[in-house]
Amino acid sequence: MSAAPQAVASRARAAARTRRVEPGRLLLYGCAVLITLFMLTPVYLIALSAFSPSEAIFDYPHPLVPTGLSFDNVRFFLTYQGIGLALLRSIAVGGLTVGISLVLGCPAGYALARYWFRGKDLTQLLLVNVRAIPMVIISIPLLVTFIEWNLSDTVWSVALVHGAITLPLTILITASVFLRIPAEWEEAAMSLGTSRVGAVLRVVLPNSVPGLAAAALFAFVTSWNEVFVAVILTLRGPTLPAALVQQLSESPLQFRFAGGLCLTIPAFVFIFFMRPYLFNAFGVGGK
Amino acid sequence: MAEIRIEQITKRYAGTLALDDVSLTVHDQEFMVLLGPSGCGKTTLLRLIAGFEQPDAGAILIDGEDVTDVPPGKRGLAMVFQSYALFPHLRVFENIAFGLRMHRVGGDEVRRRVGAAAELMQITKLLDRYPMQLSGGQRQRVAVARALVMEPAVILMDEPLSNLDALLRLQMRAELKRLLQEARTTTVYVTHDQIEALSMGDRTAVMRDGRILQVDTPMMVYDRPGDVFVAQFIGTPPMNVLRGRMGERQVEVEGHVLAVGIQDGFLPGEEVTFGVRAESIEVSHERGDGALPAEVGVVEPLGSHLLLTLALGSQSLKVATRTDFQVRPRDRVWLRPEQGAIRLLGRPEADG
Repeated sequence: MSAAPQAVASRARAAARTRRVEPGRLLLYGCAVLITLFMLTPVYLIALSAFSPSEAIFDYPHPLVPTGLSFDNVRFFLTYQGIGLALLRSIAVGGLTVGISLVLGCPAGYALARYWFRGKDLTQLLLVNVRAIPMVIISIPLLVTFIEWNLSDTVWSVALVHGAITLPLTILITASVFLRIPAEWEEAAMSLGTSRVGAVLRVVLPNSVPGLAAAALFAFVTSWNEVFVAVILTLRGPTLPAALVQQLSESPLQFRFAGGLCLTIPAFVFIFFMRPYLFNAFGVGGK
Repeated sequence: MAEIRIEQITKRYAGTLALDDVSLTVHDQEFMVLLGPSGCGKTTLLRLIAGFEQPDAGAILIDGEDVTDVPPGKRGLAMVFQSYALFPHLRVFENIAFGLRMHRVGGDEVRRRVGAAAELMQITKLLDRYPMQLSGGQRQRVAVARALVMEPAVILMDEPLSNLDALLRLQMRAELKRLLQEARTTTVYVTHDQIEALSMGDRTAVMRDGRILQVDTPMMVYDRPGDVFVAQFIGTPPMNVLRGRMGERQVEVEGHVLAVGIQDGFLPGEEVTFGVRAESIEVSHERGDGALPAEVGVVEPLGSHLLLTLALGSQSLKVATRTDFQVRPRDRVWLRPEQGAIRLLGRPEADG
């Protein structure tokens, strides 16, 4: 007697369940779209102006779709005296910064993850506090030091400071990455005939690629966006942001848009190539 | 071909004593089980043999050679971990081949030996998979293959079956025992499961609080436990432990007298604890010669036998009997331990 209403009720519940899933999913995708729009709209507007003919910049109301395609602004920007070189310098500094912070950061992160040593907690605390020292205060002594070392106005001087800026967080990121690798994997490798270094190289690092990619990404983008140190430490050989800061305020609007776009694109390209490593775990997804 | 000698090993972790002057000899090709509750030091001992930890005092010798300072990869042993510790970035083939590659074995021989190990463990079809694509039982097989392929003189196993479900564990238990017998290696096997210890080992070392309490064959550990802890840790149900007063070749318990063949160094009049296995006691409705009266508390039919929980005066004990024994709670029954079944274990105050 009660079976029929129960069946109806349970069917209704099941239907309600599937209906209820829909709005949640919708909300999720809605948020994703909103966030994407939030990030992409400025980039789009910059790109729009950068690729529009010079005269279109001052159109009012400003069109939201391209009215004409022109590479004049971008070409002008890239061929403008020193800009191409500044772009290459920025890429070099970014690469060196990634190199410095990973080469020094990985062993330090590993030590924090695997070993206990006297003053470990203090070390971790101080690492974070390095970021609290204002660059303004140490920039002049740094400049003097680099002049003494004959490094001033070089890619290396900027990369060394960028490395110092990114290193603390790189260490903390890699430490958390290595913490998630079970020590038993290393022990298994060692019991099968390799040394601790061999175990790290053959087992720990290959399984840390996503985390290390994130650390590299962080270091590169930090360096790419860094202006203050780059301006202070370089004069004739500025990085791209430094060059832009020196020149943009006196440049026409088209030039600024083209510059903004050129500053954005390489970071996107870098992230694009790092993306698979960020999300790919072995055996799932991807391959 | 390897004998392991552990000589007076002491190991501390941040002040707490994990191993307290432990000595143990594992004979060549012997299957030695380290058995004990968690925190007893059995895994620490295994890790010391493996070389992952250094002892604070003492030495470890493999085949007469002091390996205390030899790194893990150069001790000629292989280990199977509780978590299996397979390398997720390598396919099953490369996981098994890892040790051979580290020892610079040539490509053809690697293929041959990995193939043979895979066949032995029946995982030939899985060689192209990643560990993540395997079930728990399959991962276990890969882990064992990775150890066996090294043809090690010593295999160390750290609770290798504890992550498997009950049925699989039963199958793997027998299979592992057969494999290790055929491999003719010396095996040290850590477990907290007393049934694994009884069923697999040639000998069992029962550990507690960083000490080895007893090293014996499974039947001896089961039948002649050295103390109350061993008696109650091994066997289902654990051995009954009762208190009594020593007499001349007899024990007086709850006003009744039980014959014990030997004196075991106890003096007449001394308080003693003694053990008797549930299956070594005959239970009957009729009063027999030298039988003890007891009251039935709980009756548990267990399929193969009937388990009774009984009150003997103020003490409680369990007795296993035939399933056709007709009995109900509160019944009065008569108990008669089999001849030679009483084990004198110690003095009550020493055991707490």
